[in-house]
Amino acid sequence: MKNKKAGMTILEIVKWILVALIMAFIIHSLMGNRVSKADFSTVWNAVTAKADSSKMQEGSNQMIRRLYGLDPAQFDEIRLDYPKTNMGAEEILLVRLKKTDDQEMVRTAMESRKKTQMNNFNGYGTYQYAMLEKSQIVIRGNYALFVSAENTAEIVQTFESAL
Amino acid sequence: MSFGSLEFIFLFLPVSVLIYRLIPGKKTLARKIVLLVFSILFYIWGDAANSIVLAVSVFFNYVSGQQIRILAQEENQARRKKITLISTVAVNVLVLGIFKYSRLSLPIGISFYTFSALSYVFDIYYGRAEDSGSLLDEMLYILFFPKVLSGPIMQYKDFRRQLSEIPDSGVRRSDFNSGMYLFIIGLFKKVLIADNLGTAFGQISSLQHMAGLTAWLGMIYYSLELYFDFSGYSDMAIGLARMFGFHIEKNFDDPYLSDGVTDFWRRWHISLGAWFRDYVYIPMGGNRCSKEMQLRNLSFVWILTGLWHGNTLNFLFWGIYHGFFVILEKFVIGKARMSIPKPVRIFLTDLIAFFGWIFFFTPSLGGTVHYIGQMFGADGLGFADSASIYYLTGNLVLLIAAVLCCGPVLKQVHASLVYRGGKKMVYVSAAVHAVLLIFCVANMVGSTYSTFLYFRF
Amino acid sequence: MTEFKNNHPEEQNISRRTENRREYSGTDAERNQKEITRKSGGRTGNRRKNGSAHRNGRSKKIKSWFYRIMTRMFLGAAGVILILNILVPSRTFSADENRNLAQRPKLTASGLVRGDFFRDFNSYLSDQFVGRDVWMNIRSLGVALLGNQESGNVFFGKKGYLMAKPVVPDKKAADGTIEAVNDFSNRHRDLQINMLLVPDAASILTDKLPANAPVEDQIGDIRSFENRLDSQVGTVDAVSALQKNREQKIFYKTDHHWTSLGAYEVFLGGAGQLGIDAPITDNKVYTVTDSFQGTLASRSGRHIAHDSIEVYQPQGTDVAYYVNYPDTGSKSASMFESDKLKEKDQYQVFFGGNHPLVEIHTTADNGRNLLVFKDSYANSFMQFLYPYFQNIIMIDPRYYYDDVETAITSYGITDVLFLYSADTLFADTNLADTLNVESGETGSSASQDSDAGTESVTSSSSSAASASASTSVSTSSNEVLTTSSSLGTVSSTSAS
Repeated sequence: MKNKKAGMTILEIVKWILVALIMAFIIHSLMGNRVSKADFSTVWNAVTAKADSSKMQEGSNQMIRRLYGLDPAQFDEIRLDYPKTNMGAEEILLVRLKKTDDQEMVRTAMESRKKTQMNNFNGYGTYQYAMLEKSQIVIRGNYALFVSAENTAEIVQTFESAL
Repeated sequence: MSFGSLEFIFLFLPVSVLIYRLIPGKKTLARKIVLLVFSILFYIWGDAANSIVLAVSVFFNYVSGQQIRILAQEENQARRKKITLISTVAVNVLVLGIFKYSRLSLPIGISFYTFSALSYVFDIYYGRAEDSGSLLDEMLYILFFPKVLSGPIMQYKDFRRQLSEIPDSGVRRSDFNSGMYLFIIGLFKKVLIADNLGTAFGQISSLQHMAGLTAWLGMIYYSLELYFDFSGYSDMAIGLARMFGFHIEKNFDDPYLSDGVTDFWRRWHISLGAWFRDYVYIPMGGNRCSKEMQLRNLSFVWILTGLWHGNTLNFLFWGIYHGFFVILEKFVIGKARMSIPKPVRIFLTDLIAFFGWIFFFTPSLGGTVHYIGQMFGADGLGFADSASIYYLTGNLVLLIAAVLCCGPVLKQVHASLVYRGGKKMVYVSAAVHAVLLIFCVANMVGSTYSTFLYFRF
Repeated sequence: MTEFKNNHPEEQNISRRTENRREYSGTDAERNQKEITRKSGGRTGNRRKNGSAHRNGRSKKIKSWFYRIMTRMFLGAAGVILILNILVPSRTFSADENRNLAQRPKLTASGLVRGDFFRDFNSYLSDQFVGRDVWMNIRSLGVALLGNQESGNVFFGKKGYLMAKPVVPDKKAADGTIEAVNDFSNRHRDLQINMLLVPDAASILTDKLPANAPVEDQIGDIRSFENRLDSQVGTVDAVSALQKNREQKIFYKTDHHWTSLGAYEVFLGGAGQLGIDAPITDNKVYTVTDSFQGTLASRSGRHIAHDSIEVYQPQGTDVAYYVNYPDTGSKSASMFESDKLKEKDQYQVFFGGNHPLVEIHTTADNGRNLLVFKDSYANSFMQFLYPYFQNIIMIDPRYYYDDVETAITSYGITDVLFLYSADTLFADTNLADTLNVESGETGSSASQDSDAGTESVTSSSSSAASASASTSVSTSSNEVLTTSSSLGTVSSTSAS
């Protein structure tokens, strides 16, 4: 009798741990996909403030199209800072999506750009190559960020808190 | 992973079949484990990111089921047993609802495996299954890869019983072969008929304005596509299950030959209807209660059916639409229905069913109304224009083939020609099937074809 | 009845249970053996009552033998293809599809957890599937057998003509382009500006379309586009010239471009508008290939017809030219790159394909410098144009990132020509972006600083291309019904 009761209690506890687990998963997913009301300029300024602007220049729509194959017209807002010289690897692309369905497309474009850059520097630009290896692509709801910099992690953190 | 994909047919299927057959029949535990491993791999392959949801569901429902089983063995625990059941059902439905109705991407198969899990819990509660508390059995039941993603929804008691019936000699040859053939037929239905109908429908649905006939064709193509896609997939699932030694009931029974809406629902997505009947309708009283109660129960079931199918108002309305006709047929028209000649009954039923699918392929209720308007000339292009003819003649062969396959004609012809015909006819038939298979593979490869030529323009 | 199946105790159990449940189980054979209460009528099932038990037994034997053959055939074929796929080495590029093919993905923890590994593996499997191009052709054959007259948005026309479906103009893009062109015209009142819009084959060769095919009225679209242009922007009427010559080979059968003959007829008809008083009508015509199978053959999977490509050499002029390609830093004495004839897309014989910037310097000493904003249609037009201009500068806005105004000044441009196929221009935003460089829209506020130095950030066009080509990953659109993504294209059904 007692064993059974203990058994039942254990089962009950396991059950509710599982419920908590699934709730945590759901909340985490919802948070990750949450549409942010943050203003684009605010996020952009916050992000670029942490970056080394001396190494980058602003990119035009054509440059965005050329480097990422993304059509700026498809997004709410999009801004690019890319290397001033072709020996640099510092780059930031910030996108505010019109619809979250575009997340995969933007992610793929950013990954492709990262791979190309890594190919460019592979073999002769070890410093740049290393920077690109730790570069990050972060998609949060309606915001997407690609950042390649010395202090990538710090910039990503700034980005996430700006949302 | 879809059954009609290259990775399934040319990698997963041959490998899993081969390894399963290598295990001696009497090593039941080994076979169960291998089957489980493959099923887990199959699911992760399709949706790794959301696999945790499935895992939680499997374990949660196992624990609940065991609690209920233990409580059932004790005296005076009926109330506690019921509370456990209700809370379990509530959690399952809540989680399903959250995923369905929020922005979150839906874990694949969740509507199906949740219903399987609920069947597990219900069958234990009602004492219908001889459950031994085996976690392996429960996991295998829910995760069984032929049915985990899109059904048919097998009930736990049936699966459980069959687990103990696996013969020592292994899967019977006849089962294996007939299962394989059923899979092939399902593949034909899906890849050759449904996918092509989908292309045809896609051409029409992208039009802004259309003449009446064009819109009618669109509805017909979609209705046929839906049937062949779903029943083809079910055939593949049932065939696969048989190849691994399990018998799943057929999920479709020539539904477009039904002579009434009630009949339709005994032939379309049979396992779902059975699930609602056995776990909702009958426990609520079924047919053994007052007319008012029956009406209430039926309405409730049909609302649930609508909600299960999708997360927009369209699906809810579709459920109510069918519920309305079922109730009408049962309580209002009754036996008077039989005075209508059979072909007319079939035609009317098809009309009702086809119109019902418009709810499925339009994005909103407004869209539904708009499309129906287009079917009756609302675009001002008349009943038929040259485009209508184009969409008809371009798909005529396909349309005729699809209509023929809606009934047992082809099967009977094949049976009389081949099975009574002799050796030679068998070879002829095999050759025909081989040609169709080649076209199948070609279609599967072709659907992954993407031409990047635009960029070079 | 003869029991040909293994006599197994389970058999009887199943039959009994199935009876009680009054439902149908799997095979015909099982149904044959039981007396099952039939459900509602309308189903004839099998004619068990016909013939003797012996005949039934025999047919069941044949049926099970048939099943065995089918099973062996299917599993055998699957096994063989699996082995072939393992043995055959991977390809990196598909000429037919003009894209890089997926390679085997790396196994990483995050790839597994996020599911990317499996998605990539599926792409790898299908991209490297043995005989991929052959399967595509078989598919196209199947489509034709069904009586379908189109595939991949390409019509199967008469006399072997493949014709692309005319594009429905993207209103926003078209409005933006018109506004940009008009603004440009206002800024440069001193220049001779012309617009040359070329209709596609489906709009001109209407008699070769499949019967009743519904087609966008592209000529109407072209006219209304032209009407909205500023009065200073002249129009070269390609439509009339092509319609007049529709019986001739003015479009390729397998490619979306116009032929050199088609370009020539438009040139003759439009010479006056372009300020050319005496267009040369005496040309030497060389056929450089007759095995050309172009983009439409690939898109539709129909590799039946072949085309020939002609190049024209104007006679009676002593104007010579050379071509300079700043992007590769190479020069050429001819605009025809015969090396490209060895590749699949032989239309690239004209200038070797698309470049961001091409300079044609001629010995014509008339001070006329022409700037051409273009897509690939212009590539086969230049062979007629060069004797009349001292310099021709071709800019492809899809690849060109420098400042247009600077270019106009530094090249001393006197004439401007917009040469586009309607299919391209009506969905294009690149031209507007290139012309609007000054107006500082989002993302380009500091673009004036980006000059020659920017070209240095190398990225092959194919990599940018592959980024934009990748379609968003679609999880099963309606997981309740099936996992087929072809279902319900109109509606957004239950899922994500």
